[in-house]
Amino acid sequence: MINRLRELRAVKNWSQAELAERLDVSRQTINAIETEKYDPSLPLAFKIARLFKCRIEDVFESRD
Amino acid sequence: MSSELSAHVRTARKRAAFKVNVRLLGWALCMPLMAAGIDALNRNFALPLPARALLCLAPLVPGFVFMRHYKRAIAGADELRLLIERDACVFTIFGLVGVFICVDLLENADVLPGFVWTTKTLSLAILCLYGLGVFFTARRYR
Repeated sequence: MINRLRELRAVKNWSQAELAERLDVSRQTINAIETEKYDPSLPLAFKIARLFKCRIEDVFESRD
Repeated sequence: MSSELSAHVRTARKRAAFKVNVRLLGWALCMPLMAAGIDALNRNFALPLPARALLCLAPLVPGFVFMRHYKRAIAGADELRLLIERDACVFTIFGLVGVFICVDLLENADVLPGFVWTTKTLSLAILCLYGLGVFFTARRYR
């Protein structure tokens, strides 16, 4: 999966730790998602989309 | 103000996580210590059979408490942490099979003559493999 999390976070001017706090996950989780080492679960993906007020497809995109 | 609050929340969370880890470690240490004490009691005193049996089952109590704390810690963990724990468990299971095969081969080749798996060596092997599993998996997501 490709994601725009880093980009969206930069727009809000949040640090990884701040975003992690808002999503109630660890900073490592945010870092792993941003570096595309890890794909989040569906509930977390929904939480991210809701936080940035956009659709899941606007944040995450399939590689193919 | 908001960043101060957020730093405060972060510190509080870290402190809470540290407390959970200390408690888990405490329970984990409690079992072998209890086992050593019970072993010494059974060796040095001629206790009746039911008392000996009860004493031998006593380490299960901190074991269950440990499990309860661990379950609570896992339930509150974030999803990457759960993934790391799961991968570490898989690493431990398959690693243990590999270790068994290797130790068997080493014993047959007279490198480790007369090696016998005991509760202590087995527990140590499981804990070491689990620790290695957590270390390697966590490194992948760093």
